Amino acid sequence: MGVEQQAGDDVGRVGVVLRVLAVLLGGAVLLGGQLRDTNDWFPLGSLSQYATPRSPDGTVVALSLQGTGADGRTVAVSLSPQSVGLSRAEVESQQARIVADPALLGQLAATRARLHPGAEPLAALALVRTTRRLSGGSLVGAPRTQDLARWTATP
Amino acid sequence: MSLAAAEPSGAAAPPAPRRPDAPRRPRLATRLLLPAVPLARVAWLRAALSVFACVDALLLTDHVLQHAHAAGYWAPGALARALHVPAPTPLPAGSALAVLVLGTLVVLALPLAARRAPGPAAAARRARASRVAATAVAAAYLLWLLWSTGFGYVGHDHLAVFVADVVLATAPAAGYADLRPSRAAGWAVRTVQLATVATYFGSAVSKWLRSGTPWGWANGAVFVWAVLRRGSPLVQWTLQVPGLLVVGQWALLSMELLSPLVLLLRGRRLALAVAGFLAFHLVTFLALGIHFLPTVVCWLAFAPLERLPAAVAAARARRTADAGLTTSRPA
Repeated sequence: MGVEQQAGDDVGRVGVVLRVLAVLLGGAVLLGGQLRDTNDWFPLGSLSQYATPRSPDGTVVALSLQGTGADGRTVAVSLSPQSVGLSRAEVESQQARIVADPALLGQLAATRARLHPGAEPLAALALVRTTRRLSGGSLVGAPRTQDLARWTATP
Repeated sequence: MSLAAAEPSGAAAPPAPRRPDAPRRPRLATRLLLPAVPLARVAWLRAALSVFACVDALLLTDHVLQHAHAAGYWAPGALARALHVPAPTPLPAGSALAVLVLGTLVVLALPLAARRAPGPAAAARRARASRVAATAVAAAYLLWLLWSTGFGYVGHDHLAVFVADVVLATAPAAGYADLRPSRAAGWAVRTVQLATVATYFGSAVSKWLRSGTPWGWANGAVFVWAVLRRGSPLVQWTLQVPGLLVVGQWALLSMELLSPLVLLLRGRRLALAVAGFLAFHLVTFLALGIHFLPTVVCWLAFAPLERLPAAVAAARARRTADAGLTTSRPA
């Protein structure tokens, strides 16, 4: 590694100052991103993946989609980008918007129709929340499901 | 903080009496943040991360192509808003992907051209082309990541690779065997290292802030929650042993809080520490299907990549010698 003993002075004084400032600024923004706990500052926003402490006696919730065909039967609609253009995490983060405006579920149905032209058309699409209860870190009782929002196709 | 971390060769040498005309020792900040590293390291790192950008866009964040049909859910972050990035639609998304892949091919090929066309004029042309290609790859990948993260979910695994993409575009053109030292290259490599470590340390800070105490998170039930939501069949048994999951939470939090120490390690200890982080990602991948690959590839910034050509040549020489031995041996 004798090469590192040479000077390698290819960065001028201004370049050094700018580079050092860039690192300090990036570090400061990243710290600010944690303090403000915001994803809005990506890539220097919150690093909160799995950071929320979960109570061993709390609940575990997950969202899913449930479609209804023209004949009233349930149609499985997986909540994934391949299926409806969005992932479960994305839909979960926009849950409040969807509950306030269930027509957004219609957009997911439209995306599904565009991505899967041969799929059975949906007469309705519901956003479903499944809640499971923990006690002492172990699962207790049966899961509970609840429709959070429902969109119905206009014929 | 030990200076040896940044420039071991300088620190290891005994202090020599300085002549008045001898070059001044650079300042501390320069030695820490702009260590002189061989240009080849940046050539290899840039090639590896450009290839990864393509792999990422084609396999891991290919949901952008589906996002392009869900414009109603476009919820851009601060950077996308500041740059006036519009919601993805199929044509721009496809174009960005094409630029990314073609630019990567150029980034890969340019360092090889150094051998075919030596000379200052060719080198200057190559440097220009390298900058254009690296900038195009960086811009296309950034756009792609903003589209990927602009629908409400932000993958925290992309911090380091995003930073790497930007800083590597500032580093000079370099050949794969170019061992000339460069501080511009050293800054890019060092910044990728810092961003990689910051991903872990920052997430420990986030856990601390969200739970109120440094240890609150580790005593909770996050791992149970994670296994319930997306645990693979391999780890369902852990739900019967909640105590083990708490131990795991403590181990992870400790590892994240201690991650900056990696910046001080060298040689075998560094390799061991990096292997530890990679093992953690392997476990979370098998347990939860979370690969964190964009951060995993950034650990390459800690490797002496410039030694690759010599290592390959040595291996080839060994193989040739072995083959010669075998064929010359009587049957």
